[in-house]
Amino acid sequence: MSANRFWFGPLRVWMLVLSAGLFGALVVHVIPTAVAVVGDESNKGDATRQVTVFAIQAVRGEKTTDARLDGLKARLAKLKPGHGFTLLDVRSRPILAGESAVVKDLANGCEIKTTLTQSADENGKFEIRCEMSQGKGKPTSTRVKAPLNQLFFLDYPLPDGTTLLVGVGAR
Amino acid sequence: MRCPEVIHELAVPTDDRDSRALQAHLAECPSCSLWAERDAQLSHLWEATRPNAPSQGTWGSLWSRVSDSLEHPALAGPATIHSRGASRARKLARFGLVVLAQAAAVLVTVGVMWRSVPTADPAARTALAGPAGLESSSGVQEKFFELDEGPVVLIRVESASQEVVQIASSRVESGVDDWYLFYNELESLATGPVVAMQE
Repeated sequence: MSANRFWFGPLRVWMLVLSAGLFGALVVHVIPTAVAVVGDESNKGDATRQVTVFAIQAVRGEKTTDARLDGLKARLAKLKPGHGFTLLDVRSRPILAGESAVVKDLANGCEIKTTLTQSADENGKFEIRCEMSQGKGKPTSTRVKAPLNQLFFLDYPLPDGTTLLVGVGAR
Repeated sequence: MRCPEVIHELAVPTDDRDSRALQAHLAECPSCSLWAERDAQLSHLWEATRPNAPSQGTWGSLWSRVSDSLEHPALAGPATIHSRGASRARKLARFGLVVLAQAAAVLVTVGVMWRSVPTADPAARTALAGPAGLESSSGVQEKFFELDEGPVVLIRVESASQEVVQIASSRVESGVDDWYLFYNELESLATGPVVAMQE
């Protein structure tokens, strides 16, 4: 089939109809939704953040500390003086705004869910929601906006008298 | 210079870098110097194993062959005899391409629309709409804190209240940020040491 027969033959009708359909779809759906998505992403930031979450159990009066935390003992003592520390779990993974990282089976059946709600605001801060649930009790939710590369800690007193220390950071 | 600035400078060097301050920091901070060493190893590995880019001449000859084959399709391949079957196959192929393009457009449209649907998050909506401080939505209590750069904050969370009870000073002593190193060490417990390349 020559080029002339293709463009001026019966197939051109199909081509015109399908091209018109494609153009219509583009105008009606793709462009407005793409604009909406771009607007939404610019609001919450579309960058992936490497979010690190760790859970440490602090026991008052305990003198021993988890060997994995040996190098960090002095700094932990600034947060909870007179406590011994056990690292329960530590997770670090890249997540997008809207995604969550869950740390389960912690002390006293606790579970920590961290959701990145905003990758970066106009000041370069990320925003994260931390929900701590324990058994069938109501979860406690804390939303924190913090600078990148800077840890913050959440201190949850547990029924057995110990403390669940949760550290969160993003970069 | 602080650790994050040093890492940023090493990863994305700027024109106005203060090399003296950078070197001074690297000499004092074991974490950043280890990072710099791994970065250099990765760069060497990349330089040693990167594929050769095709020369300008190779690209030129490739494009001229492509344009020749488009202008003179009969000369491009060994099949120069047009049979009715071949013509029909070509028609079908063209039609198939158009249908595929349409299917792709529909998929893109559906995908973009799906991404733009806002996620149901009643807690967040209530928090934004409600008064500052403790909000309640479906029995879930939430409090919002905005932290400034510098101090490391401990937020004490009890069932009825949430408050900042301790602010650990993050004073940078001799250019090394204690809490930044703390962060790095905890992160490395989760991810393990950096591996440049794996088979």
